[in-house]
Amino acid sequence: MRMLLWNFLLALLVALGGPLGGYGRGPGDTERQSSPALREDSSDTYTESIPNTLVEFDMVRVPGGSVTVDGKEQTVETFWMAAMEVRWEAFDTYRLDENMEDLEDAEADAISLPSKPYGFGNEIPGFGQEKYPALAVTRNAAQQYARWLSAKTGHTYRLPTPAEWKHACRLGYGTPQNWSPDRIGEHAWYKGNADDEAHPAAALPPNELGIHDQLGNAAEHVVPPEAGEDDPSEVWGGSYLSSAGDLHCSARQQKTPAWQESDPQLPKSQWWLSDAPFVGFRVVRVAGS
Amino acid sequence: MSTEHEQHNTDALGGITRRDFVKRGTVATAGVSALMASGNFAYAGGTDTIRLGLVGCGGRGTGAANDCYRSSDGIELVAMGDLFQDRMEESKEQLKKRLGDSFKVTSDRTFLGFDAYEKVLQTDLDLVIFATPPAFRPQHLRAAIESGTNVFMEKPVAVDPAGIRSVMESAQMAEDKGLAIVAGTQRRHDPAYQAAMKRIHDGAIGEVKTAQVYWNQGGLWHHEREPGMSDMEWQVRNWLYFTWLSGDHIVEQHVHNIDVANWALQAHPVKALGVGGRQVRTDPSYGHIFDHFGIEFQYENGARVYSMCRQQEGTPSRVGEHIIGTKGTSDGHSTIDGATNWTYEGKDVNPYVQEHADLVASIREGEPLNEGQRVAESVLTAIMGREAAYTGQEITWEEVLNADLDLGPDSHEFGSLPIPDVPAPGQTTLNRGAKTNASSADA
Repeated sequence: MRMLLWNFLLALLVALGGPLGGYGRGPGDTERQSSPALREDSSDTYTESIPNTLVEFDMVRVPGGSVTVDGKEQTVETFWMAAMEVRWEAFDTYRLDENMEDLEDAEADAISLPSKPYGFGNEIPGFGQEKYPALAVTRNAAQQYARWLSAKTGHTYRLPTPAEWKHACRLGYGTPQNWSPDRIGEHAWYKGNADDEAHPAAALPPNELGIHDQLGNAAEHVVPPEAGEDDPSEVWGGSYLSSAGDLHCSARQQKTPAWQESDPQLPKSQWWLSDAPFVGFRVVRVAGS
Repeated sequence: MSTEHEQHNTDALGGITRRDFVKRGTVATAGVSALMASGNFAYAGGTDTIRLGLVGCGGRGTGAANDCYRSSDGIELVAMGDLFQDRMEESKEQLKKRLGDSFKVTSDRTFLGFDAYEKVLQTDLDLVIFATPPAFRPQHLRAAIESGTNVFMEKPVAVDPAGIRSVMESAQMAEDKGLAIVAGTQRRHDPAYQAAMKRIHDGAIGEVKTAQVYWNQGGLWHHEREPGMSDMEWQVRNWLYFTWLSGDHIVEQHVHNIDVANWALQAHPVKALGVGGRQVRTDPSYGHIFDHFGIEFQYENGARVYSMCRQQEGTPSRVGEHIIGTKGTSDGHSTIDGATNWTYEGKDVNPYVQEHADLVASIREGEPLNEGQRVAESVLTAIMGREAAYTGQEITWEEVLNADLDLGPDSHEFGSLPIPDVPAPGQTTLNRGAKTNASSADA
């Protein structure tokens, strides 16, 4: 029933002419009517469009500051963070791109496209296609997407570092003391309200920075600047499966073999996490890049 | 273990066989061979070495060999066969890494070619894994049973009625010889499915009247045709897209869910009516198969099962089963709702490993599992659905079981092989006969 309700609400939003990506945020709505590839006319937000597609998403400026990760205080420069988790329609424009050779970026030669998942275990990860976060993607797949997006748009996108991710989270949701666990369902999909399913990106109101779903819904890949390919990947922020206590700005989960246990192939997929349908990601962009 | 191999040599003389020895050895240590929990799958004990062979070294075959090794103590991989050197090398590299000292495949026990299965079967095996494209399964299975080797075979186990009849005969031969056959319909070895099915069979949802089963997803992998590739090589490397190799996706993939419907109803259907077509994936590089099917299966007791499968890029996935009885419903593996409510709360087990644990334990305990007839019936159910859609006709079980339909070419060799036409409902007939390498099928 919950799914039907959401479909209804989404349909209603579309009917009212409000772009879903801007749900809960007024100013972006009118800007989108005449949509060039990139606008930075607002100091706090701009809308990125993937050329030759209808896919758009908002980027939010995250002011720099400092944050403690693994007991070390780190400085974070001002950067842009996507207001929503990467959705299937965005990921699929990359996954199914038939015009890779058109990319001008020299780096584009090294970008590869994901395999197509055969279907794993009892369910292929995913609860819906349009508007839903891209799920069960490996860190490699997420990084390749960011490189592809960079080549497509001419702006440098990548996955957030743990420090960037945590800093943005704390700015957006406030300090843990200010975060009232009994109000968590107002901003985040978690065990208490998600019905064991991921939900459309940006269906709940954003946090104070204008960012949706950073806590809950999909747990999100982060990549330390020095991470090697063999270092286990990490996702932060908890997911729709997490209990309220596991939904905070230091919540992190490290990849285990269980995340690919039921992938029946060897080698295991470089692209898909057969048993981690709670893993997604969002992109960031270094300011001025 | 060398004495056991010598004993195997007396097989032809009717003496003790290596397999008898393996069984007896375990009977003597029955306490050890009881199923034990280890990791997240039940673990087959017993230490007598099982000599394992692998035919079909793609991703699934390689995964299956590793799953078998992980499932039980005392598994040694001793021989491998494939058509292609590149697949063989990648598979060896993966398995060496994971099996360590239990990887005992030497260069004189790796075989390439259409006859690799015969050579693998000549290396004194206890158990062989067949994971080639399904077209070759009936022939491989027959050879394994004739040679006295236990079998794990991936689904589907045939692509046409001629192949199904052969598999059914082989299953009976295995029964007579006391050999095990387990098929890769892994839901049958998943304790969650087993628990739900037991309740359904005990009447928890009343009489099963209908079910809906699904395998909807996007597209699948595809290999470009390289210069110099023969028709045969190109088709075998892209086997998904040719009915003679895969059975079409309703047989190749959706058979899992159709098998669950048969399991719930404890029967195979008596007839099928269906639609299907090739709507989006129309490029010739994707062979000639359909990209969607919708089938109604009717059962002897009047139940009707609705099946839907789709491989169209950009569409959401749904894979699963919904079983409806007079007193409730079930998803077949985790919940029952209705007159009684139930949720599976047991352990999550990897059924891809469990199926091997069950197989190996059954061999060691001298009570070999034989799933041959059952899986043949489920695959024939899927073939009946496919043929209902291909022909546009209502197809009965008796008609499809006895059909004059043998899709494969008459010889397996790298060379010319035309792509069959896309089936046309109202024109394509069920009894299309046998094919030759030179003809265009579905005429």
